[in-house]
Amino acid sequence: MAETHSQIFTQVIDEQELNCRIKQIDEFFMRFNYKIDYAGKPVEPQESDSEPDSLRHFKTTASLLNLDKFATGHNSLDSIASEFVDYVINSDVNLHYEDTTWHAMVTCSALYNGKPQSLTLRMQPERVQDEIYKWVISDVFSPLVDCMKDSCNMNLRIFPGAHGGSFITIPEFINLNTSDIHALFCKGYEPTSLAAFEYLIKTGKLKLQNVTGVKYSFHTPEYDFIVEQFSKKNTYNNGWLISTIIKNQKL
Amino acid sequence: MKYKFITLLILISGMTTFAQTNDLTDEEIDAFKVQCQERIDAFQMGLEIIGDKQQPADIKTHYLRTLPEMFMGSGDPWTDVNGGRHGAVKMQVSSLSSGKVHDVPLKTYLTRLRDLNYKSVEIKKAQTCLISNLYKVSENMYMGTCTFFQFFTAVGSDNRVYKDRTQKDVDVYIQRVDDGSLGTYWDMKFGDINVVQTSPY
Repeated sequence: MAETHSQIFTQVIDEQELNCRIKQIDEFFMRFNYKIDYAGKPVEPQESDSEPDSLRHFKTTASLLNLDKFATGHNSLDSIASEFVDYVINSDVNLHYEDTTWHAMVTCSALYNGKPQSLTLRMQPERVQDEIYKWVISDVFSPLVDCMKDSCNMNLRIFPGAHGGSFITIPEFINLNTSDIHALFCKGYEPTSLAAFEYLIKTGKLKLQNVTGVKYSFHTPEYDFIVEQFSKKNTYNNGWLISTIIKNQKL
Repeated sequence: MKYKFITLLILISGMTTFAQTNDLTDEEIDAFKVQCQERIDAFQMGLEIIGDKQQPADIKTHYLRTLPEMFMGSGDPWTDVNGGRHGAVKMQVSSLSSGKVHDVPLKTYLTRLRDLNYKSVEIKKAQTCLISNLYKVSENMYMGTCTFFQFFTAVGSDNRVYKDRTQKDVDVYIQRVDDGSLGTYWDMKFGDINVVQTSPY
């Protein structure tokens, strides 16, 4: 039987699911710092709640994880996730926007000389003055700029008497040793991907198109972790979630 | 006495670790959040009317003209306080399943919404709405992000029903304006909208 007009347009909106979803990275911070709980409700210091605070704190921290990855089949967390949650709750680690211990990896589609290309910008907040911050690009990752990081034959050199012939050999010498050109530069020169990126953008050889993905990396004394955006069906475990946890090696 | 001192120390250390990304009072932030919610509701109402096949053409034309005024540059390219040039405000639609992304300028989006080839269209917004921290951009300007959810239902001429649910993250700019006659007031404008397709509902 066909649906009636009212059946089609009857909106059943699960507000609880939307509240549980971690909708913004700012909200991820708030939940990580236990300012709001797993359902998006503010955590008051002396709240008389039916749910014990320790359980609520555990559920809030566990809800930051992509449970498809970190939950075991027995309604519990795997060992690294379990240790991570304990660490976050017991060590009182907090995340702040102005911290220097986090950054975003922003993947963009682009056209290089008219051909599709992908590149990733490493971005981090940087203080301008007082309360004013800005996002800055601190590195670029792309096959286009990978050659800036390649090692080269540092023994290569332009001979000391090259000026005698008015440097006539220079063009061919450079053209025949393209991968080692770095060796011909002055002391103190540091090759950077950013300089290559700047050149490509300024000359119009590279045109950025869209942001195709964002990941956030966080560093704490004992763990590094990555946060990505998920949209899964039939679960309240959605939005910006921890996809990777790495335990730092103690020195 | 010792207990009081420790409590005070905890309070002070707690204050110093709190994010300082703006110099607004709690009252100002709360007022902006209320204003933002109202503006989002007004924008949403405009979308519902533009999409509604039962609404007369002149009403839709009115909203097609006035909705862009809620956005930076009134839907045209704009320049920020630091001289940065920005393109016309756009909807960037990303599909999490396909990973594909495409941009639609706001004015084009609104026109397409009006011209959708469906027999009937309904756009609803969930109550859930989240406003991020506010970040100071310059002496008189602050920005944040407002997230809300839209539920789109349409019926085609062949009676096929199309439904989708999207999360919309819209940039919100708040600027203090000193006007000779009106005095000082706060002007709120929207910026780009990131549209994440979530699951069908």
